[in-house]
Amino acid sequence: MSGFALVLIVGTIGIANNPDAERLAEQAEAEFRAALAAPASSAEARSHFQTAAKHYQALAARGSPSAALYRNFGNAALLAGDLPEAILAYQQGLQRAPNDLGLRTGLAAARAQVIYREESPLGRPMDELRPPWVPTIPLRGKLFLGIAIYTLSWFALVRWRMVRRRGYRWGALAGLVVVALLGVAIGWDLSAMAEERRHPLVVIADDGVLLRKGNGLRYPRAFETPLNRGVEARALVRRGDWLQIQLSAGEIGWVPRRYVLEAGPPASSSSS
Amino acid sequence: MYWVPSSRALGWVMNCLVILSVSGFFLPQGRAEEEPPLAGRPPNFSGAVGSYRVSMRATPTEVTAEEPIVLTVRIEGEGSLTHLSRPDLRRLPSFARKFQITNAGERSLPKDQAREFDYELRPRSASVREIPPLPFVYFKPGFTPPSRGFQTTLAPEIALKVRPRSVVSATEIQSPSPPAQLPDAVYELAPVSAVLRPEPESWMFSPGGWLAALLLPPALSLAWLWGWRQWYPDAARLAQRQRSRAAVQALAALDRLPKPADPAAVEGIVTRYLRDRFSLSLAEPTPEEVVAHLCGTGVPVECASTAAPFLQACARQRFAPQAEPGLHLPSLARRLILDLEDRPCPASPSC
Repeated sequence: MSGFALVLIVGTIGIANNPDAERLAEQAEAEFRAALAAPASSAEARSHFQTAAKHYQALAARGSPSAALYRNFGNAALLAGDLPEAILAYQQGLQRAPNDLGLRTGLAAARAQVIYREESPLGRPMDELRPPWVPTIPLRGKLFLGIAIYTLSWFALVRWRMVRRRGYRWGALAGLVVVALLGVAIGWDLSAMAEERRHPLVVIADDGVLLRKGNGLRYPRAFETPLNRGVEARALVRRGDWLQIQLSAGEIGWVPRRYVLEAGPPASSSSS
Repeated sequence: MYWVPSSRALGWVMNCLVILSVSGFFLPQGRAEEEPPLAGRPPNFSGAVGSYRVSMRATPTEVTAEEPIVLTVRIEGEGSLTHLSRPDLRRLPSFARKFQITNAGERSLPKDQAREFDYELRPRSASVREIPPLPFVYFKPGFTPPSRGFQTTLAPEIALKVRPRSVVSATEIQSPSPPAQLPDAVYELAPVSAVLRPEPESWMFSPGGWLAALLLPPALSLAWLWGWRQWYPDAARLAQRQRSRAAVQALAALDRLPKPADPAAVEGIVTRYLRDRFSLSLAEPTPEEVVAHLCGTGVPVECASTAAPFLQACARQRFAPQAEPGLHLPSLARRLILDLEDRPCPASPSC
């Protein structure tokens, strides 16, 4: 905890000592508010939203962006009509705060604007198995919970050793079982994080993009249905100007990199 | 008689011969090539020596982006075409930027003194408007200096109409209804302080953090256990020997008895202990019954026999008109319980 407090203090000092970032954030907010004051759906409003989105993007590029920053960025991009950027921003924010209602709402609104061909499931996001009312426990929460239960289990074990009451023994055993399950869940989360780093999220940035079977136009199409802006995928392999992606249902194909919005560290490269 | 030319005539003939040889008149027919000079050779020189014309034709000229166009480059001329190499369109930025280029077939047309090379071009986007002019550099002999013989001819551009890739139109979307209004949350902003708050690095992910998380709870627990043993040695001794909860409860009950302790209460505590610990089923057992039962459960006789004096003392205290001085039943009860708990293993001889 002391480490966490120290970072908060340093972060706060960092804010005070980083007037550029503060100015940029205030400019972004001012642009957003100006857009809201402008006539709805007008070019003026859109222009202000675009400027606000650019400022938020510049802030995110400075490092250690927060979930709140991504939420504002996503909102500005969505209202500016930049669907791929909005979806990517919301998803990056949800990686940091999975239970943020604003991010979830924004992402749902953005996904609703993605156009899919009626008879084709290609590119559609998979339905979540977890009901929306079930909260996601972030990794840090699982770690704290696991450590707390682990500690209590040890205390119960020692107390059982002292007084020989069965309740303490069963409590300790139950606690260790819960810790083991939490350990599995934490391992799963860490594995998912590693997978996210290896295969970061990408969003199709243009309409009518075709998946091909290879990294070149000479390769035939992998699917006849083109993908429109906003379709989400994972980056697998990069070769030159082409990127192999995997859609949410598992379909794999190659697209030119200029049609894709990428986030995070690049995917693994191989020579062409 | 023989005609002998005069020296003047001979001189004239010699001069003509020199002039003709210098001009190349005596060179073999058809060998119109001479080696092009290295000096001044353009980097995109095709290697062709002679006089050439280049032209292009494309099919189709109206395509969708990324769909193929077959481009045929025709080179014809009076020079040698046999050693002519295929023009490399991929090395021309004006082509490579706009098209994905794949070499296709080629043909030799000796009757027309021409060669044709086919290419498959795929426009990279709908912004491509034409196939750009194709330069062809060849060397034409006869120039002085020879480096001026490098000539460039252009095949004129070909206009194209490139349609954008097919998109899923709005009429093909799943729901014909217009998109829903954006929720209010999209119009809200997080405050600047929240936006600028950096993500804290988690100490828990460091090796030191993991180690502390794993080792600190057992360390604290063991420290607690050690301290408890120091403060409560009897209970600790019992616990150390993994003795029963009944004994611990009985000892605790003895501690809670008011002073002076009621003999009946002390006897009741010991009886309850014997019931819980050794399954004594009698409600008010006599000392002999208790000893017999203990022996029956495997308690050594020297341990079991200590129960009888205690119970007799309890009976005396309860029913005697006056309490015996110096007789402290709770201590005796405690001693009995500890002795029964401290007994050796059941392998010892019993009654």
